[in-house]
Order: sequence, then C-alpha cells, then structure tokens
Amino acid sequence: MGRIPSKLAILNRVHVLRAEKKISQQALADEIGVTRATINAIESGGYNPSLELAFRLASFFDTGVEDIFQIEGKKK
Amino acid sequence: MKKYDRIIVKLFLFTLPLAMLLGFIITQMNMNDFAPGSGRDWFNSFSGLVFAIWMLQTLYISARLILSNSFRDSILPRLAFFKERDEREALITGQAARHSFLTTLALLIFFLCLSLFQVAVYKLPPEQAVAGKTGTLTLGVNMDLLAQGQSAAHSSAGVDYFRYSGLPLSNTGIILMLIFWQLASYNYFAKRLNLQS
Repeated sequence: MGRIPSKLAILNRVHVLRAEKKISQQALADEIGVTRATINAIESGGYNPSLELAFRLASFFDTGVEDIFQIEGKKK
Repeated sequence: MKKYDRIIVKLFLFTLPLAMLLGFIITQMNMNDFAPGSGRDWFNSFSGLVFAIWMLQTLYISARLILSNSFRDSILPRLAFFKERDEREALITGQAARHSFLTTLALLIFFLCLSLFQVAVYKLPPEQAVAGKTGTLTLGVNMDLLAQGQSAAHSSAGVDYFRYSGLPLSNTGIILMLIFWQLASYNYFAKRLNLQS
C-alpha cells in the first residue's frame, strides 16, 4: 500500500451535476442550506466541504459522495 | 439575550445620539453666558441626568459583555461584522480570528517592548564630565506595573538631545487603538480568506 500524501487534490462534479439539473448556484445553495458563495467556492475547487455537506450534496443529486468528489489522478 | 438586556441595549442605542448631542452642545457653548433662569439650570440638570443614565448603561453593558456568554455572542459578532451563515464562513471566521489574535499578540509584545525601554541621549554640564566626556547615552527598563515609573534617564542641568521613556499614548488611546486594530485585522483577513476560496 502506497503512502497517502498529506495534501490531497480533490476534484468535484458539482458544476456538472448542477448543469444537468439545470439549477442555479443560488437555488442549489438554498436547497442545501449554504450561501451561493460557498457553492461557487466548492465548484471552483477553493473549498472542500465537510463530510456532512458532501452527503447533503450527494443526497440532493441523488448519487453517492464518491460520484461527486474524487481524488485527482485516482480512477474510480 | 434576556428581555431586560434587550431593553437596556435598545435604550443605550437610542440615548447615544442624545448623549452625543448634549455633549457637543456643552463643549461648544459656554453655559455661563446664559443668564440664570433662562433654562440654563434646567438644561444642566437634564443633561446631567442623561449622562448619568448613559454612563450607568455603558457600565452595565460592558460588564454583561464580560460575564454573559449569550449576551456577548448576540452583540459582539454584529459589531465585528462576523459572517457565519454556513460552514465555510464559520471556517473563515475561525482562520481570520486566528490571524487577528496572532497579529494582536505580536502588536502587544511590540508595545510591551516600547513601554519597557527607556533611552536618553544628552550632554552633561562640564563640571559633571566623566573622563572628560560630556556626551551621555543612558539606557533603562521600566518594569513598574502599577504606578507611572520615573524616567531612568535624566540629565539634570545638561542638554537633552533625545529622550524616550515609554509609549507616548494614553491608556485610552492604546485601548482604542487595540480595539480598532482587532476589528480591522479580523475583517482584513476574513476578506482575504474569502477571496482565496
């Protein structure tokens, strides 16, 4: 088993999933109880959400957390 | 916040402009110019009463801010422009508060150094010359915690070139500066962290 780096680059598909659902950042933010700036920060990769928020996003998009968030360079 | 506290805070906020207005009037106008019986006495009594109430409210509120967690949490975050609407903003608040705390601590250490050290450069009178030299550099440390310490460097009858014996600011000036520093540094770091994410 390889050593896990101390800092993981986490990619997410929130932008894609939101586009598929055809909803705005504000609408998504209202649905999961955060600000629009937080959705923007998550989509741009500037902020990695907590586990709770990740599960809330997964629940909203009706998918698994691993379908939204992946470690860069690691295939599912 | 308790109902009683809410009433006191509202009363404080509503009487603040009145107290400031009265303070402005008193400082700008010489009340002795007005003849007795022309409302001067009534005005003095009224403004005195307003100031007394305002001072009591201020003391009560500042004491409550120290003693009550809920009171402090409901008042000070608004004054400091805290934004904690979700987890990201709460995280930014924490990080900005950390930065602010550390910069304030650094500033306090710097102020401590400035208030401790005393330096004087002066010229002694010829009769007090040491080994024929009259130019003197005196270094001192003021460790008085309670009373205002005496300057360690003094030139008696000589000529002062430079004299530094502690911070030139008053207590009120230092406290006000630290309050503004805390607010400004917190908001600066919060804004910067917000832009980074």
